[in-house]
Amino acid sequence: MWILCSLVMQIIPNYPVYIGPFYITLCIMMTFALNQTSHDTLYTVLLPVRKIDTVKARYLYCLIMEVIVLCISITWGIIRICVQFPDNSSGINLNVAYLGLQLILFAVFNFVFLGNVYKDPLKPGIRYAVGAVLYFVLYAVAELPVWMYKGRLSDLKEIGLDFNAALAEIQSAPWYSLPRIGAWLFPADAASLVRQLPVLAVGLLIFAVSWPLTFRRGARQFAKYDM
Amino acid sequence: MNLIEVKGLCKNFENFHLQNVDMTLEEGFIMGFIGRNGAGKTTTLKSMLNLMNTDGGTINLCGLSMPKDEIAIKNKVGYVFGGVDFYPEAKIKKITDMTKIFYENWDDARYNDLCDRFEIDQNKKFKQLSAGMKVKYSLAVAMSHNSSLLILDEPTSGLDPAARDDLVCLFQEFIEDGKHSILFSTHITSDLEKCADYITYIKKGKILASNDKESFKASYIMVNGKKDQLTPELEEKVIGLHKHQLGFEGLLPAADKAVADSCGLECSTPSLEDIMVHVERR
Repeated sequence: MWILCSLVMQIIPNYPVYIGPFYITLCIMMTFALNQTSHDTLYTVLLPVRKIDTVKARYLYCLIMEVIVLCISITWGIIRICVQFPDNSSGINLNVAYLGLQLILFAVFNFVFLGNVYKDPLKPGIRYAVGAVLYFVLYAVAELPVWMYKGRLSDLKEIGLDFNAALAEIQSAPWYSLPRIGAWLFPADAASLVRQLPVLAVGLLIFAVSWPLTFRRGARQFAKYDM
Repeated sequence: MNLIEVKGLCKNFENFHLQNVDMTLEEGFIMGFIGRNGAGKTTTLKSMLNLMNTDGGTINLCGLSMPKDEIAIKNKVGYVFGGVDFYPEAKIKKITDMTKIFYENWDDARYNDLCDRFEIDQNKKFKQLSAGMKVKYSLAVAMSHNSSLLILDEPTSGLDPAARDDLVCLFQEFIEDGKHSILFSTHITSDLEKCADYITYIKKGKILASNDKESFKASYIMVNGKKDQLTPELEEKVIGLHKHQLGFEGLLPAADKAVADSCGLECSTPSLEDIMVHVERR
């Protein structure tokens, strides 16, 4: 249901693409919240498994959900490019840079929420609130260059420059200027997607490194937890 | 072979300390684990199953060491925690199907036999079962993976006398081949009168006694006397002294029987409930 929600949200034209995956973080929290009535953690620990395997299984479930969401994003991204979907007016396009940034958002959320929830798996609420706030802060940070780029582009068009001239003007700014970074992150044409590959590579690296760190932290906390 | 060997088990909380719990149970017997609410029964059982970290001591179950042999132990030990509803919205069949894939020696025939005997409807949701049926279902699962030892935490609490009697009969059948044992925590001592071979008594985190039931009961005598028979010396010795209009009653250690006889008190063998009531009143 949540994945379907996420799936549908990413094909809505002019809708922030980071919001759909946010529902998956909510879904991850709900699996812990439902534990209070189902006693899932206690039941699992009582099965012939090691205590640490309970954490591993739950994290694997979360990882699979996040990967499914990313696969859906890739599918929609390809479709959007193929049918020449108009640019997203509500933030970044569903492109390669977005995937990299979404991976970073997931990595940070995982470390903050999943990395701490096993201090007391029966009380996920506060830890989720911290993770969710951080998700939106990072979402704002990731979108800031895109919005700066769009604003600058609009300003330059208002003074009579056409799109190519305005873009050239933005790209002539220093590499660290936010509109220039936005100009790198925003487009979804084939040439731009290739140029965005480093963002995806960094995202993949952070995501890949975050899981072992998150697991180590969660497993250590759960080992200390008295059921 | 000892199916339970616990030595020096300690667990410290801010306001409660489990202190040097020792417990041994051979195969073929039922041990009753008694004490008031909050005495440390559940903490002991949870520590034995590695649900709680311990602050000292060793735990061997079925000849294996916990937590080193955690998976092997969990395959050989069945457990029931009374009063905990697992997956209330799930159907019984679904819970069982998920559970059985984890066990090396799951026995479907045994499970089906037990469910037929208990009249457990596989298509009901867990929450739709009565308190007694929930315990029976948990027992059916615990007994269907060829477990040698059952650890039961207050399984009969909240059940009516007929349901409790059913369970007691089942426990006796489980151990009758001499290869299985049950550790059974409860504060309903009448159930233990019927089926327990051994009694371990815990009070405020300390084991007061761990002995066969008859020896445990024989270690005390119940005394009744008139008001004028209660001397200051006797008053000091009587455990859980209860004065009433006609006189007094209490427990005495069996070693002090001569004192009771010399005072002319009426003596009798106490029940487990008598012992528990008077020891806790102490």
